[in-house]
Amino acid sequence: MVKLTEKMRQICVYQFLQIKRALKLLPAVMAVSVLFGALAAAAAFGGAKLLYQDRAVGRIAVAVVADADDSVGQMALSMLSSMESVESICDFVETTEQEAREGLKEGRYYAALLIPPRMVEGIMDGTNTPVRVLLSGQGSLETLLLRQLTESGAQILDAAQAGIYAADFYCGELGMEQLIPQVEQFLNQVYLDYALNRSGWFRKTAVSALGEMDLLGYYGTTAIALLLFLSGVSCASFSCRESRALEEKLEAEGVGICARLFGKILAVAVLLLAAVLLLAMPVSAGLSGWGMRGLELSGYSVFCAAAAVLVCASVIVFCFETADSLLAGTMLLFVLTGALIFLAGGLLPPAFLPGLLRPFSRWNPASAVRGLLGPLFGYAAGWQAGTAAVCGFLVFFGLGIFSRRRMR
Amino acid sequence: MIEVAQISKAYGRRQVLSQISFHIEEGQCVGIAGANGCGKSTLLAILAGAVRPDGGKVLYHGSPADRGRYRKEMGYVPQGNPLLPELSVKDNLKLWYKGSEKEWKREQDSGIIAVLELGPLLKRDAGRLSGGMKRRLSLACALMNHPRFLILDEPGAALDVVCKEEIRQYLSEYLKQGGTVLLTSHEERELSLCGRLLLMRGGRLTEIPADTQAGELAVMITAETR
Repeated sequence: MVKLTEKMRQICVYQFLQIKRALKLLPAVMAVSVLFGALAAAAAFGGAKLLYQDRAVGRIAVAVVADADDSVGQMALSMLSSMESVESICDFVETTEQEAREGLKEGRYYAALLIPPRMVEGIMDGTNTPVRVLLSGQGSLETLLLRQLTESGAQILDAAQAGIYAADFYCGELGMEQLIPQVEQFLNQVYLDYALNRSGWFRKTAVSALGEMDLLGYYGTTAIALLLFLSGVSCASFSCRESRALEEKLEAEGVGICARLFGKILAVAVLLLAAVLLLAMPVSAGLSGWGMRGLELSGYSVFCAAAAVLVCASVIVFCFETADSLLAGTMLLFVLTGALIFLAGGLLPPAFLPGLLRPFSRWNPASAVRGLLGPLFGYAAGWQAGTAAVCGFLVFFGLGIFSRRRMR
Repeated sequence: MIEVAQISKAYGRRQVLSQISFHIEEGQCVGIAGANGCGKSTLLAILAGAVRPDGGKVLYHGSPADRGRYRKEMGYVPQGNPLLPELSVKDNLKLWYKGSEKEWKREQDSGIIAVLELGPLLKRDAGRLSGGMKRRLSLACALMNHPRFLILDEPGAALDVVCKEEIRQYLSEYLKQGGTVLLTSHEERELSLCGRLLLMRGGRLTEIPADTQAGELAVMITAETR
């Protein structure tokens, strides 16, 4: 009993001093995290600029060629363009046919609508002179959407017209021609209601490749996980194996491999948790300042973050223990982090990963870390993340002990 | 006091220690000499409990040496300095110290900290100390708990003459007070402290006269190396 107490005391003192030693690296870890964060933000900003070239995404420019003297046609067009659903994605530009065709060729317009004279009257009397829709041949997503939109609109119009003509014919057959305006008005109202406001009949269910998380939560957890793993570089000197003399003396004093390795992992975890908490406060304030949702710093989210950093620390310590040199350890950490984050669906959502790799997206330490960081963004961590975290920690802790025993 | 019986150790296919047996009496200073890489440090690490032998046993007062009493009464100074460089001298000493706060005060005022002149350096990071001071700190780490048996692996290696002499004087004082020492060294001055001298050759130990001169020792070691 006395032996156990003395041994435990020695282990506790060693553990306390390791944590103290690790915390001395806090300024360096924070500085590197800020630097990595700034680089990641710059890369993301640059990527977005490159992809979208400073152009608003989702607006579809449509050229409209209409007879300026056709007041009813102009009114219909104005109604269409002021409809909320259309207004949010389309810009209608009135122009001439020649200008519209040139604009299509140059890519300024995604489509051109050539509205025939007296179009509305044609619909009313059944002659139905069609609207000619010219689409650019680029086959872009916007063009495809517009084609679908116009075809659907035409089908709705066809069905509405068929219904109205059938009612007119039936009234005529029954000798009740005086009722035709009322019937048409009623049916127009019904068709318009169905055509324009059908969304009310359905329950809205948002389906996203990002899972439960929104964009901020998804990339936020990925960014923090990346920062945590790569922060290992700034505490590399600490994570590397102790000097042989120190290892021998600790062993002689009864502080075995498991206690030493666990001590180191715990110290790195405390260091990373301190860095996360210190950085989380200004980041949260910054997000709120930009009108976004701030981070949730509750007891639950801090507990989950502590579990997440423990997993990160086990991976970091494993890399430097196995490589046994700063450079090799850093390289191994970079490669392993990249692979784990990719497999965890941190860069591309898991739905876009090849089928063979998809099982790894749930059961790897990086997905556990991302899942456990979820509560910082207001999402529950879930049992799967907890299980993956425990498994990930045990695997890397075990591998660390194995590599240390092999190298003795 | 210490009985080493049939200790063997191999690293891969290389047999470093073969059936080594010897004993050390209380108050003795035993020196082990030998060529570089002959297994002296491995033997000391086994005696300190840092490395497990493939075979054989170490007994301390008749009991297996992996017991708590042996750990408590043995001080080990490995070849390198077992220090945490980012921490202060005080923290490094506290890592190995097993006494109370009250006793710590006494150590600081008149004990090993004062004797090895580490008092003014307590707040300095161990990594910033000179080689000599680091070695002195390593020695202090081993002596903090007043061990009855000291295992020293080349205590004066890579130190200047002044430091070597200071450490030698301290060991001499320790022996006068009844301490037991087992050390390895290549230094004639250090080995001159030893009442018994063992030569390690081909993984085996041979006792040689304690007054063997450096020249003769060199011939013995060289003969084994060739």
